[in-house]
Amino acid sequence: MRSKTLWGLALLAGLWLLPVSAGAEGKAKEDYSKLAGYVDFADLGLNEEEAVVEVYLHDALLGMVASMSKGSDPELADMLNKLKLIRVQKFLLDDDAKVGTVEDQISALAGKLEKSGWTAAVRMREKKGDNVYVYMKMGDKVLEGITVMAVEGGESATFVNIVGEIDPEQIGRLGHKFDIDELDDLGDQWHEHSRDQKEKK
Amino acid sequence: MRHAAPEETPLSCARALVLLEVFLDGELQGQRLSRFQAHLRSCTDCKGELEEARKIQEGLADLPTGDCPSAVTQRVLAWAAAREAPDERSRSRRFGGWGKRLAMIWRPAVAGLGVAVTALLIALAAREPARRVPQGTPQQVRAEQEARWALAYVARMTRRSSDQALGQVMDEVVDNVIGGTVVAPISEAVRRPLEEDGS
Repeated sequence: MRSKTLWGLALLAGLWLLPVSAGAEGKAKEDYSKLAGYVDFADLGLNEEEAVVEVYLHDALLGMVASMSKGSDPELADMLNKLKLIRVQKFLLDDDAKVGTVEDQISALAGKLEKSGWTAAVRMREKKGDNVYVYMKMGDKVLEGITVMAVEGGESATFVNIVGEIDPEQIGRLGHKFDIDELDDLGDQWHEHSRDQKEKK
Repeated sequence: MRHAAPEETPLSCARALVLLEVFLDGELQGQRLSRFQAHLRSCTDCKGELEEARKIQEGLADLPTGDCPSAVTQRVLAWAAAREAPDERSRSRRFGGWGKRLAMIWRPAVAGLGVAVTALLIALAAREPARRVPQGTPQQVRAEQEARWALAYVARMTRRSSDQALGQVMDEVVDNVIGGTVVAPISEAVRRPLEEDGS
């Protein structure tokens, strides 16, 4: 009798937890491509398996990170709480032909973005192998997406897409704060990681 | 749009110079090797650079690697051994009976000093503002780093571009405003007497 009661309680607890976990799973699998600020880098025609850096932070994970950094960095937590997705892809460009191809593809995607209501914040074409495009998707009152497409030093192409409710000033402030510590440290780690991967191949 | 196949695309001098060292190390292969060789056939400057680099590499390889005289090696090893393990007897010889007595005093004194310095360092560290220690699972910590990186990257790219835009504006100001009102009258003032002298 007593074991039956325990089994019953366990079943009830299981049923109670089921929608919670299903909800979390569902959130992680949300179709972000329907969001206004989303950019599909697949249109660039690059083989995603060749990316040396692949970051995909969806809102469930960003929410957890936000609650983690609430005490230590409230501004970062506030910003992350409003974001839906952060994506980063980085590719190494082996030769000049690849640089040219990727630049053409970026230029084509930039054209598509402009046609679909994105605003060019930056279009910097310094020389072959050094181009930066920054596009912003304006919502009614807030920014709904930012995307950066950059070819640097004729060696790498980096694509960043931030989706969600974005305050550009906040990005500027936070970005400036993290610039030296985060960008260089993590960039070096990624560089080493990609070099190790190359050596293994 | 059709893109040229890699083997058809000529290599730039900048790219060839990057590949030069790889070529000398014998690690350049396949299409990259054939493109590099094709570039050398048409570019005398890069060919010259290659010859220079080859000479330097050969010169370095030819440098003599002489052996150290055994007497010197032995003296260095003996000196190092003496430094690593000071002989108890030599210390007694130097200080006589006092050596042991002094050792009994200074050893506890040094140990006490060490403890005091450690305590002082701990106290100073406690006065420093607490450094941010990442908390959460490794996945969360990593995610936070990556999010910061993405934000920093966007900010850096936007800033870099605005710096460049500012530079262009300044160039235009110099060319159109300062150039017209300051530089042109000065150059005119300098040119005219020179022309008059010449005539």
